[in-house]
Amino acid sequence: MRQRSMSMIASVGAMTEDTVAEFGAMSLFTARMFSWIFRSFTRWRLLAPQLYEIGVRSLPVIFATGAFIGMVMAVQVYFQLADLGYKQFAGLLINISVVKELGPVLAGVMLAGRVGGSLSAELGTMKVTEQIDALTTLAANPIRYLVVPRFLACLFLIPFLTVYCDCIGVLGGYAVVVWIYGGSAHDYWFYSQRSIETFDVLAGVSKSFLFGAVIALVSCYKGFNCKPGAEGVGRAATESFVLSFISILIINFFMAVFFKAFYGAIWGLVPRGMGS
Amino acid sequence: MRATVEELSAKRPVPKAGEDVVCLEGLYKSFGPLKVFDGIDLKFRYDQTTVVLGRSGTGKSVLLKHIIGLMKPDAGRVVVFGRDLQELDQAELENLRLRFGMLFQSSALFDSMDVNANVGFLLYEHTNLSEAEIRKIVREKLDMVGLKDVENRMPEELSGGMKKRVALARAIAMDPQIILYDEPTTGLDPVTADSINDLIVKMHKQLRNTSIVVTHDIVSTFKIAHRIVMLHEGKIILDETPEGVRNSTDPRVQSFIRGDASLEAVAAKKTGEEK
Ligand SMILES: Nc1ncnc2c1ncn2[C@@H]1O[C@H](COP(=O)(O)OP(=O)(O)OP(=O)(O)O)[C@@H](O)[C@H]1O
Ligand SMILES: [Mg+2]
Repeated sequence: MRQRSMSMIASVGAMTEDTVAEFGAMSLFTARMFSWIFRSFTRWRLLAPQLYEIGVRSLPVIFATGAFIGMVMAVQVYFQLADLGYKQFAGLLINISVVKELGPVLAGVMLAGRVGGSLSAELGTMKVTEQIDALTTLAANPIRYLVVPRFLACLFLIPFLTVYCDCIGVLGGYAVVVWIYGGSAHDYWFYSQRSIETFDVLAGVSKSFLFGAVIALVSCYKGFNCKPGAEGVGRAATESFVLSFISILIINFFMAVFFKAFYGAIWGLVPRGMGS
Repeated sequence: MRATVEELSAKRPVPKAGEDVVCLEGLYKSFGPLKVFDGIDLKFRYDQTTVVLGRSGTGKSVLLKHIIGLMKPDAGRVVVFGRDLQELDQAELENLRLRFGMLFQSSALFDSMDVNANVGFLLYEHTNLSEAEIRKIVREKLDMVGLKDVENRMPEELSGGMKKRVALARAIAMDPQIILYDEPTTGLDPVTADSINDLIVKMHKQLRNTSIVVTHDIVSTFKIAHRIVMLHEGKIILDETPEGVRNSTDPRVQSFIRGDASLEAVAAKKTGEEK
């Protein structure tokens, strides 16, 4: 019994040690990548295919994500508000949720799956087939050559994709509220415009920069440290998705706290749109 | 970043014939409990082709990866062109690697690039040669390995043996001073294999470089080697001229070059008795 609990403690200890070690390795990886960005940025020839792969090829899934978020929010919100006699606020409620939380987070999660999964599988395959070693022997630093362009593409494009997701979400909500439930188009736009501020949109978009950075770093790191074989590649893809997802949720929480404090410090915490 | 051909050759001074360009000093390496190198001392001279023999899994590929700095030893030094690899910074290491060519056992072609981009990789990355000039060199190198009209194919459209030859063309694209061949003839038909042997001999005559060839192919070995070393259980158990190997009485060596497992059993029994 005692021995068993000892071995349990030991294994918890080992796990903690592994986690700390991995965190350290990941920080080192990140530091190396930034040093390459500052030294030589990247070349268009390397960046362009990534922009296409990460940006253009994500448009369909982001369209679907945005549309369904907006529509399901409309379905959930409209009748609740109508019962209370506030159906004119449906658009406001839908849009503030989409722009501040659901759009960025769900787009981030979607991209963690699509982009993160494919990045870690691609780099993982390169690792296990020794292509990354081959790059090194050909005097091309793999971090500069592979990671930097992928990181920059994610950093620039994921915010764009988030804005795109937001817009589609707003239109999806509109379609359900106005076309299906026969709500007022004027109310949908009027109350949204009156109470959603630029600050809200920017808060959503600035989170998505961090999401993009985290997705790129986690999936490139996992790909580079892929274990041999098809199983290793599969595991790298799964691990990178799970870790990006969790990081997105954690970052999202802290950003929400930060933005609340920031907003309160500058404009004071009064309910918006209802005042004056 | 990109250099002219003259600037590049300034970075690649030609060593004297007979100079030790690669020195492995007291190399130890383990992967977890598995001890791969147990004190290896080896020197490779310029203008010499060395064949490294050894059973599967004895660490021949690992040896090549240490020489080019893809793996670091647990203890000991790897000295290339008089410089300890551990002490070089990133830029120095990259300059050094421009003097190397490496053929990977698994070919390791970049599967997102066509054959032209694979073979011309070094030239595109590190020289300011024009597209047309690079394509010309790529065609020449492909011609040397016996391939024609494959420049625009992707690696997945090639057979295993063709991949190997494309990888070989990539390794020799910049006329390296040290070439590491990891099983260049494995998986090729006997005729192509022989033409690869001829190519290795020809490359050596032309460049007078250091070639280190890992192979299981005894016919190739005697055709190309100036010197044969054998790796066994983490140590070098043989370092001889081809003549010396033919006359060797060590059963471990004889079993290997004759492909006879029964001799190996005799050897194992004998070492057992000695203990
Ligand atoms: N990155 C690695 N991690 C863990 N073990 C490794 C690694 N690379 C090689 N090994 C182990 O080291 C040993 C030597 O491997 P190596 O690939 O050098 O063998 P080899 O002599 O080239 O064999 P073959 O003739 O089959 O190619 C093997 O037992 C292998 O399992
Ligand atoms: Mg090998």
